[in-house]
Amino acid sequence: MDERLFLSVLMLLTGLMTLAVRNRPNPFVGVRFGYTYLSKRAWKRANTFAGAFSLISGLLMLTLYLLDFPKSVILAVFLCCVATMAVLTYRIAKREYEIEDLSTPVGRAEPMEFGSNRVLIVEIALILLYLALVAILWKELPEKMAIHFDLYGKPDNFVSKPLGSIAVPVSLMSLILLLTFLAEKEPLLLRFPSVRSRKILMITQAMLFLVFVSVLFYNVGFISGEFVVVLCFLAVGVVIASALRS
Amino acid sequence: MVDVERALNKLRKEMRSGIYSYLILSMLESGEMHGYIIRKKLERLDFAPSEGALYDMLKSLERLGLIESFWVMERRPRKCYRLTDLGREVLKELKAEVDRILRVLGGVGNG
Repeated sequence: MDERLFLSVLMLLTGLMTLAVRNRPNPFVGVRFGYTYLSKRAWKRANTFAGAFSLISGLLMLTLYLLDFPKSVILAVFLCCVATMAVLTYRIAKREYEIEDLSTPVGRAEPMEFGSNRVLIVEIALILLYLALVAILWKELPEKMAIHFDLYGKPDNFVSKPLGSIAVPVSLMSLILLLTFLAEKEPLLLRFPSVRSRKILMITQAMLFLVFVSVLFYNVGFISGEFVVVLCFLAVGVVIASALRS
Repeated sequence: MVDVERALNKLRKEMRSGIYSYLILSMLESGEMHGYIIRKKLERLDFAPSEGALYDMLKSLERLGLIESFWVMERRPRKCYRLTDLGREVLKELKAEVDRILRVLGGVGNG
């Protein structure tokens, strides 16, 4: 299928599915973060908006496809629509949750615990440790690094050394660090507010560290591709288990 | 008649907005408070805005740096508000201003 058509249909279908579940909170389809999980009102308003926005965006993209606009234009429209939708939907859900909060009688409340800053320190330390390992292994790393593997451990995607060893891993680990920081300021940005979300993020950071280190070790010939794949599955399992335990 | 209503609505809205802000700051002077309690206190004064209007007012005071919000945990996270140092300073000025206004209005009323 033409990629332009695929993106347009994907947007349309996402819109239809989101609208279909706008009155039924669930963990699988729809806009899902703390605000919408905890408030039916926020779920309904956020998903009605996101569904309609996605549907209109899909129609716009389909029109551009029919008018034979190039892939770059349709991809740019897609990214703009997704980013705008994410920001506006978050704001709507937050507003609805807080308005509902203003009309809900308040009982005995405890201060919200976010845990100590040790979580942040551990996450920063893991990034620094990873960078130290890259510096040590830099000369051994190949100019074209394998960063993705098939199920049998055979590498199927290669990128340049700076991108594969620094840019991608550090960006992802920094994103987790940013989310951990935001979890205190905007606890309902995440599904699990407070201490739990920060613990899950710290475990995710540790698992990312292990996976990226294993990719480094594969590229310098210390371990096999199969070992990297097994470790990836293990890491995903640990993150899911920690989220379910919460 | 329509013009009278329109003008009255506009002036009422502007006047109430200032009074609400002043009342919210005054309530928070004694300590932190949940948004629901602020709304209930305003209701007791027979002066309650809608939840949406109160939300916008709290946001606006927060953007000005006069109050700050923080989360507490009940069955689910709830939002509380407290006065900032800037808010305390502004409230002091406003109190003097309100006293002057009341004196002037009292004078007009008696006069």
